[in-house]
Amino acid sequence: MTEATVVPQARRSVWMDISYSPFWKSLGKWLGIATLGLIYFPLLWLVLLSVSQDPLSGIPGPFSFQHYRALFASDAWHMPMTASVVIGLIVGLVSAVTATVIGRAVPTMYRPGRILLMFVLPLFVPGMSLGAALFIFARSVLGLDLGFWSIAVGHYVWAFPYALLIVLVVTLRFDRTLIEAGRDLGASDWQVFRDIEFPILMPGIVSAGLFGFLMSFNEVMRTIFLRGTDETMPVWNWIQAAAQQSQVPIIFSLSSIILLLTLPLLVGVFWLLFVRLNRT
Amino acid sequence: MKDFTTEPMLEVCDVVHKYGQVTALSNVSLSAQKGEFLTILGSSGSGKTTMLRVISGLETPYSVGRLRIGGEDVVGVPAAKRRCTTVFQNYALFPHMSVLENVAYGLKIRKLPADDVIREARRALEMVRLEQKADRSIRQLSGGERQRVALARAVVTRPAVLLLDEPLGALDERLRQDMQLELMDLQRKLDMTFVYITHSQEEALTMSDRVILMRNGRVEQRGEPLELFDRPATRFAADFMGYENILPGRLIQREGDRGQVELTGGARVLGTLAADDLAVGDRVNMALRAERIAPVGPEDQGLDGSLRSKVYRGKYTDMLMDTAAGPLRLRSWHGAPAEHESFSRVGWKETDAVIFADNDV
Repeated sequence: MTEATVVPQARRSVWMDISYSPFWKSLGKWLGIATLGLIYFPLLWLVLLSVSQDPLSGIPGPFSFQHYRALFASDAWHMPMTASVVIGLIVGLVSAVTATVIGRAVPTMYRPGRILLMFVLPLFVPGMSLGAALFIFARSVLGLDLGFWSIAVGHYVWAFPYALLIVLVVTLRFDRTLIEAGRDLGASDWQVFRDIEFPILMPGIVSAGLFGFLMSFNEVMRTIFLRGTDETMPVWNWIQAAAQQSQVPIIFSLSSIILLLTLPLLVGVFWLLFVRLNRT
Repeated sequence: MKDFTTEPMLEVCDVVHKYGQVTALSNVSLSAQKGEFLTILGSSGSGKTTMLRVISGLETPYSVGRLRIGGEDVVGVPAAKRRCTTVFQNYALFPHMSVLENVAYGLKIRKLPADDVIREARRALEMVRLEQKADRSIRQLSGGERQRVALARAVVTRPAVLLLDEPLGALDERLRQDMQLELMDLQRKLDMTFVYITHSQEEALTMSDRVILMRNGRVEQRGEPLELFDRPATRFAADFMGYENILPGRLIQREGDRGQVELTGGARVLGTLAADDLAVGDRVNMALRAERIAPVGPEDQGLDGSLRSKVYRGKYTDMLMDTAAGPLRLRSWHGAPAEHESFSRVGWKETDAVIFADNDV
């Protein structure tokens, strides 16, 4: 009787020993380092190749800036770059504004869960499906010629859920008694918004805009369906890379430049969201 | 005692307010004079906070007969245009502004010259002894300091009425007692009308000139703090004011404000009537504070009984006695010696026993 109860306990404690052995901690550490390497090594390699004489060999060096010179001599990428930047700015701005308006309304809703889920669902809808759907919608319902504006609409649909989620971080935390405190002290509704609510929500709104820009700037899948004959920066890059022309080395340079420009933007978003926000 | 002869700074008549089907306030009226410290006392759900929000304009009442602040009719006037400010329960300080900016905000909104704004705000901070921390951010302040910033921010615009919504609720005991004195001091210095909301009878007694006890959206009793403390007029008021013993009975004799009550079980005891409208034969309750009951001799008025339990609590001893009128709680402040005492009859001064009608649940 007593033996029967002792044995299973002993067995369980062996399993406990394995589950919490120090092995898991060091495995976690090395697996983490390997994964980080997988993420960042190719980026570093890309930058190294962009300053190498023969990037197509895949091995860095000898180093030269000749491909950057070729890039700046060429104007083939100007149009797609302009298109991407302008669409990105429009999408960023519109996402920030609409996400703010909607995000401010959510905390006042009774049980906003279901609506929120519907807003966020596009994040998980396959890009192909959404791209194809928007392709039909833009042409037959909106009557748009495929190109600049249909791309912008597609990007907005893609960027908005992110922007909304980011804005919700600040609007859900916003203490509405501050609005009452402002009114109580004599501020008009506009003054309350300008002096109290907006400055407190600002980090979220700006992050939403920056993130919207980045989402649009990087988008390929939906753009392929919606672009008609227009080209955005990533699409142009992809076409060039696929074409195996002598042009290819300059896309290493271009990608490096874009990487160096977007990283600070991302850092800005996270600084606003996690550092700046915790101060208020 | 202060003398309030000037016109009322705050007049509210017949406020009715409903949240959907729930009536939060039913025909509540109150007024406060210049420089008066009025406390609205009540438990949560009594409507006291709703009342405050109606006065400040943050809540629009369902109907109101009269609402005047500083002599001005403010029915339909938005909160921003009323000459009253609020110290919120959670302080509601602006987290993105410094201490000074918080205090200065009300003045800045009024488009005062920048120099005056800073000077006035600094003076208000000085008043709450926070001038050293003017440039701190709100996060760097302790609870008590935040409380004082909220106070400075609310009084800097010199409102006719200052509304305080349980401002000391979040502070610890020691700090709360200090802040009580500080608030009273400030109120006297400013000669401002304070309307103070609390659920603590102790705060109400310590600070107020007048107390309004609310229950379920109605005024249960109003009066000076001592009146409420010593002459509760209902069972609810007695209970709320901390009377440990409330004994049911029947009024069998009255003379002036003295009355004799026959308690359940037949014992006849003496007390003081809380209201004039009691008649002989009425069903009444008699309320007694545990610490005002003491052992007496066999010929004195009181109740016979036997001691059931005794708990020595350091400063005092709590005792429970079985009597014909039911269990009776006693508290002795004599300390340890009382522990060995034994007695079979307790009594009280007639003025310490309050008799009121048994008309509520």
